[in-house]
Amino acid sequence: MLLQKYLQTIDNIDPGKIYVENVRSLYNLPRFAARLMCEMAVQEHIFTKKIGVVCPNCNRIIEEFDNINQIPETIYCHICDAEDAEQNTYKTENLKKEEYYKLLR
Amino acid sequence: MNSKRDLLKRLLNLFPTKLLKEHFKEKGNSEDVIEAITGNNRSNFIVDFVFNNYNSTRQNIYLFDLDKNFNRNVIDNTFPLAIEKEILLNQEYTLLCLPQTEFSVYLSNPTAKEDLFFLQPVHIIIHKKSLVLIFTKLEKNVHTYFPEIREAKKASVKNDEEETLKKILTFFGMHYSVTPTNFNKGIKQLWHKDEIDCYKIQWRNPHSTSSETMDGTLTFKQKYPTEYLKIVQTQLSKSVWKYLLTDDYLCEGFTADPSNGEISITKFPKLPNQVKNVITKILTNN
Repeated sequence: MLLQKYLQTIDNIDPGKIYVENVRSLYNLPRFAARLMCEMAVQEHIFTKKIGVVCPNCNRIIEEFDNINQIPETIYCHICDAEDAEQNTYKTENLKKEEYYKLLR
Repeated sequence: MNSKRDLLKRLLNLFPTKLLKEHFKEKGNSEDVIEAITGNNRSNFIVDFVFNNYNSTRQNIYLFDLDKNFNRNVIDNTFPLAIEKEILLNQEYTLLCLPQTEFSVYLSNPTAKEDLFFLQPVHIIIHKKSLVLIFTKLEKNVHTYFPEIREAKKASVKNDEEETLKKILTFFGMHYSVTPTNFNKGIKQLWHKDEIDCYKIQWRNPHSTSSETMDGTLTFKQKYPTEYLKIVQTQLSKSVWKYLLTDDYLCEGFTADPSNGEISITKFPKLPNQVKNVITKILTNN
């Protein structure tokens, strides 16, 4: 029910990335329950799960992947390049990865 | 390490290899081509090439407004840099200087400290009340100049771009009131017409500075049209732009600080006029 209500809430907007925290804070749920809701939504083909690789310099998501095996060994950040940062290509094993969900329409 | 030929080689290294091959009719990889050019051409030919082809390099561009029309007579022997070449075309003066930037580099295997000198092309373009300073970007990673097994780290730098810029501005400041060109209006016009959109933008609020950096290759206006309408009313600062049209008129991307008159081109332009077009397009819309 909660999930259906959440989907009604976001149906008319472009929600972009849906983090577990978005669901948790909206319904004031324990974190594990919010995560469970998201995982159930993946099982129901309502959400798809993504892994974002985070740039250590600009803290943005450089690129997103469907699973860990798709992540290449190195990744290039075009913003770091444009801003002349010391480094613009990073080893992905050293980078932070964020999990989030997207609405399957 | 820092012979005249070494400096010319590093100078040519700032240009795309394709252009060097075409212009000097040489074949091979970048290293071979530069070796051949510096062996077969007098240095004044190489300086001529640098003067005429700066539009094909990666650049930092600084735009300024003068309080009155430029008078060539003010540039005398007190000018802080040696002028290598000069041309006057349609009331526009273009001067080329090649200041020497000196890096001190720490090396491993074996441990040593070496000096590495570069000539940095600086084009000074003056037309009436407009002063444009174009610095060709130097290679930022010094390790490319040493064998791979020798880890190289910059220890210090003398006479870098910041210092040269300061010298030039101090000189012009003695004769004119010099202010960075504020091109907020110009860039917002291009943004409004959907010719450009940004990957990153910083703007001033009444009590804070905000910044938005887009994930992946998304752009700001495309994803946040409502926020766009708010921030076009503010003063913009550091931003990274994408050219949205497919006609190759401008280079595919550039960074800009519209409130401080700064533009930076970090990738070799596809076509020689693209950088000039970026400047002209922003200023004609300003």
